[in-house]
Amino acid sequence: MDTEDDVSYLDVKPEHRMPMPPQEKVWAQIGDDLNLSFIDWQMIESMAKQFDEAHREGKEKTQSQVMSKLLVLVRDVTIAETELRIKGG
Amino acid sequence: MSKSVSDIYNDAVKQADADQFEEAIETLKPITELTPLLRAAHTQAGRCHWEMHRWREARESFETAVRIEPDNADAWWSLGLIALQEGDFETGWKGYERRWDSQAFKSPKLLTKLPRWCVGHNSFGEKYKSVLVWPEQGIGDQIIYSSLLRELQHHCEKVTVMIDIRLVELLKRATPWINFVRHDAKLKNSEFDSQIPIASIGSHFLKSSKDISELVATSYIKADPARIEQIKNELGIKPDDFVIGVSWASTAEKIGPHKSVKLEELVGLWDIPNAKIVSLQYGKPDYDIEPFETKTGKKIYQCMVNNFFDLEGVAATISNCNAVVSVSNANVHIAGAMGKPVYVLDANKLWYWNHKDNNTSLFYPSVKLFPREHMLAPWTNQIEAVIKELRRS
Repeated sequence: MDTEDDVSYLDVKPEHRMPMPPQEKVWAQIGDDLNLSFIDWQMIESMAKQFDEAHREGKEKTQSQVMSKLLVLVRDVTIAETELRIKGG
Repeated sequence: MSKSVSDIYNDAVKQADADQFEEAIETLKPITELTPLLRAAHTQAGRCHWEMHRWREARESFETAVRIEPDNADAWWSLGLIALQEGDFETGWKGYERRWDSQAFKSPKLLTKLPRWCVGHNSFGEKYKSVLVWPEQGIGDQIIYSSLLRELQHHCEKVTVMIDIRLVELLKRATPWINFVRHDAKLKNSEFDSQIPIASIGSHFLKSSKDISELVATSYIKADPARIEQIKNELGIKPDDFVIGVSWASTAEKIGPHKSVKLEELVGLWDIPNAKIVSLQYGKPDYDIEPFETKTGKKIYQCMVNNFFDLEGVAATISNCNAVVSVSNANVHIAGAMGKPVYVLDANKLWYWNHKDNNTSLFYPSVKLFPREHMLAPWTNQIEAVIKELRRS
C-alpha cells in the first residue's frame, strides 16, 4: 500500500475554494440511491421562461425548453396539491 | 502632552551622543514598535497607487515596505507583479515566487517529496524525464499558464498536468499527447522525477515580452463538436446572426467588483446589425438579466449550461459565437485559448494583460484589450471603442 511519502496530492484546506462540479448531467443528477441528488432550478426556470417566450412568439421549442417547462409545471402542481392536502388536514 | 516622533528621536540621539546607549534604546522603543504599522502603511499606499495605475509610485511604496521589513512576502510578491507588468521578468519572477509565503495567497500547495523541476539537470547531472505540473489560483490563471505546457514538453519527455477538473477534457482534446488529470487526484511519486506549480513554468521560459509571442501556444482549448451542435440548435442560431457572447462580472474574491461592469452599460451591443446576444455570465446572472430585459426590452439568450461548473458547455457556446465581449474573467481565457475574437473590458489589474502589441494580447492573439484608465474611471470610452470595432468587423 502507498504511504503519504509515495504519493503527491494537493493539500486542500477548508479555506481553499476548489469547486467540484456534479459529474454526470450538470443541471440534474440521479444519485446512487436512485433519488434526485442534484437539480439546478435556476437553469430549469430560465429554460421554462424561454419556452413561454417561444410560445408567445409562435416559435418552435427545443427539447430542453419543453422538458424544463414540464418540470416547472409538475413542480408547481405538486406544491399546490401538497398545500391543499395540508390545509385539508 | 505626549511627545512627537521627531522629539522622541532627538532625545534618543542626545542620549546616544552622551553614551547613554541603554537609555537611548528605551527612548526609541515607541518608534521601533511602530515598524510593523509603518510597513503596513507603505504596503497599503502601494496598493492604492496600484489601483490608480501609478506603477512607479506603487513600486516605491512597496520598496520602502521591504526596506522596513526585508522578509515581508506580500511586499515582495507585489514588487514581483509590478516588475512582471513592466517587463522586468528577472525581478518579476523572483518576486512572484514569494506568493507561496504570503498569507494572502489562498491556493493549495502540493504535498510531495518530489524535487522542483528546472530547465537542465537534477543533482545527479541527469535530465528530468517526467514532470508533474500542478494547478494553482483560478480557472483563468490555470488556462493562461497552460499556454506554456507545449514548450515545457520540449524540455521534458513526459508532462503530466494536474488541473481543475472542469478543464481536463477541454485541454486534452486540443493536446492529446499531454497527460491531463483532475486536480483531486493522488499520484504515485514513482511515475515522476520532478514537479512544478503551473504559474512557475513561465519563470523558466519567459525572460522578455518577446518570448511570450514566440513561446505560448494558441488554440489549446477545444470544445466538444457534438456539444457545439447541440447548443447551436438550442440557441436557434441562423446563418445571418452575429452571435456575441457577453459576460459583465467577475466573481474573483476582493478584486471582482473592480473588474465588473453593469449589464446596462453594454446596451449598445444590441444595436449592432443582426446581433444575437448570448449570456456567458456565471454566478447569478438572472439577478442582472431579468431587470435588464424588463427595463430595456432587449433579449439575452441563455442556454442549458451552468456557466460556472460546465465549462464544456461554456466552450461549446463560445464556439457558436462570432465574438465575445467580456470583462477580465475566466471566459476571456477560455475564448482566448480557443482563438475566438474577444474584446476585453480590462480593469488592468493583472500583469499579463499589460503585454500587448497595440491592443492585442501577446498571450492570446485573438484577444483585444480595452484598459480602463484607473479603478475609479468610468467604462464609457472602452465600451464605445468595443462597439465601434465590432461594427467594423
